[in-house]
Amino acid sequence: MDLEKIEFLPDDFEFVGDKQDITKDVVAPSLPAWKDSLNRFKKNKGAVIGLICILVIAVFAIFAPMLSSYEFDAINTKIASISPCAEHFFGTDTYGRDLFVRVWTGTRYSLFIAVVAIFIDVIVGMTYGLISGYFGGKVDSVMQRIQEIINSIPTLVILTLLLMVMKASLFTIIMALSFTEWIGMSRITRAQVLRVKEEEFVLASRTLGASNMFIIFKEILPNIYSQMIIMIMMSIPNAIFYEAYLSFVGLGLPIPMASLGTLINDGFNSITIYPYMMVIPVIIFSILMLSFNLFGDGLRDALDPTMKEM
Amino acid sequence: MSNSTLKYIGKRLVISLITLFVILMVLFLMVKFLPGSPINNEKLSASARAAIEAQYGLDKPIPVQFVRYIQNMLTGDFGVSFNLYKDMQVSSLVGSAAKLSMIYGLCAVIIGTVIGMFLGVFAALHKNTIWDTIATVISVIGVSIPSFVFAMLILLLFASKLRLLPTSYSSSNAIKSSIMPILALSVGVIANVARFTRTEMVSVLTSEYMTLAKAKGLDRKTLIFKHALRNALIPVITILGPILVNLMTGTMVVEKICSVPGLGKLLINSILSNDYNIILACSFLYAAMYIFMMLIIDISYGIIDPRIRLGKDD
Repeated sequence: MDLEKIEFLPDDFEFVGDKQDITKDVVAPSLPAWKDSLNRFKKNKGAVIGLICILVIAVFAIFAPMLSSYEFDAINTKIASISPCAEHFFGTDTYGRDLFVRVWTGTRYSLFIAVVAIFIDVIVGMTYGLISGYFGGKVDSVMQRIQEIINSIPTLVILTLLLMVMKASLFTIIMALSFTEWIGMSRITRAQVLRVKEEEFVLASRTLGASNMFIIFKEILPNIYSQMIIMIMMSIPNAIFYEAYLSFVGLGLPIPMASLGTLINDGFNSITIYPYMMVIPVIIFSILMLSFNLFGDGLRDALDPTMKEM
Repeated sequence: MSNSTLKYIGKRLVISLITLFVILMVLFLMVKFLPGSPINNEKLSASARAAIEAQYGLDKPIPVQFVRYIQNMLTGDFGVSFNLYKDMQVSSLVGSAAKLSMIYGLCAVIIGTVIGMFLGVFAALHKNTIWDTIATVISVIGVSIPSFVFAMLILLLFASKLRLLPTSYSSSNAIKSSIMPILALSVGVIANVARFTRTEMVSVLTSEYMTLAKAKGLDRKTLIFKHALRNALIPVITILGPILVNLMTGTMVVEKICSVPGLGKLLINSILSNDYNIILACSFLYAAMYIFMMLIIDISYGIIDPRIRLGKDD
């Protein structure tokens, strides 16, 4: 196109005028960190659905066994193997135990085991990681070698052996799960401590004469808590899975107690005749696993946007 | 390979060997002190017990037994089965079981990686469309839900209801009865690989060298396969570790569900019947495979990306 021939007419232009006030800067309102995270979390549909599912399942697990007229371990062979109906929402098992109560009691045990095991992990793992990372040097290298050796034994071997020595019960399963999960926790803690302890505010605090305890609890811990929460949320489905795995290996909760794992295992024995006995606990188990994963992912993205995706 | 790489590999090898030794020792001691072994049977008279102990060499002090066990182990002799398969050689039992498990694991990894890569690339190329969402949902489900659930569903649907597949393993129909466990095992691999490939692919596609390649006028096929995919695939090695560990745990339960006579089923059965020699051999084999895999993966990281090795040396 020939540039010479372009002509500008008056109505090619529009007067912007003072619609824009350039003397004022438009800045997003400043939000506290938790509110910022909450907003990010709310935008993640999967995570919100996950959270809702977890809450609904937890409410059922807590209240359904209380409100039902059946006991989870009451055997009544007259009503054995009834398919799901209005009286027994999830049917009954081969011993005539109401599966609605049993499944929710099982969910309660599974969640309880997972939460307690992770709680112990956090305390043990965090202490180990903090000491190892904060003090460094000889302490660190010895602690790391020990950890390396424990870490290179596969979880399933540790779990199997531990539970063969200590006969399976609620307590021993929790102990066994804590024994295998704390390593991940301590690794994350150590990595975070190594990162944070070089920061200048720690140096400043030390210059002002702060003690090691003060630096650990007041300077380092508040800066790594979000990583800890993410790790906890990622560990819970792991613990639920390993509990189910143990039930399959025959090292699960002793009868008449029930967990999702033992229920799935029991249901599996009559899979061809009464599929509902297995399918219902499997569905709840799967929803729980999926929800915790979605929730954990959402939480990670919300608390630490820099860590997005792996 | 530089000097420091060799040093690193050597160090890792030594740690692995020490770990294996510690594991073997712990396993051995546990088995010695566990209650309910066939030798501890109370119905046996003292002389009968002494005879059995002499037969299995259990009358010697424990350190001697341990040294003897290691010597035998190095020649491939893991002792004999006590309960499960009376007096059969553990090494042959474990060997045939491990072979089957490894074949299944390998098939699952290969099938899973190929399909997963395809799914991941597909999702990345159709980013933010309905296809991407579908692929993401599939991979989230596959990552979250353990393989035994899939095994159960396949069993219920295709074997029990539709009767397309056999419900349990039979050596006469090996291929057809392998479909179910391999399928169930590969779901997790597919999901993990797809998720990771998508992330890598998206970041590669937006990189500057891709813009340059596009600006040079390369066609789409060369662009995707030669420039993007190759660079996106290198980091996939980093998730092979977790995938293989998942598979090992997965096979144990999946083998039980599909009644495949693999290593997992052997271990479960030996636990249920307190057959300690088999438990020891299976656990040791699991630990050894795990450590070997970790070693290979760690070394391959070190060679691909020397920064990882330096970072770990702290």
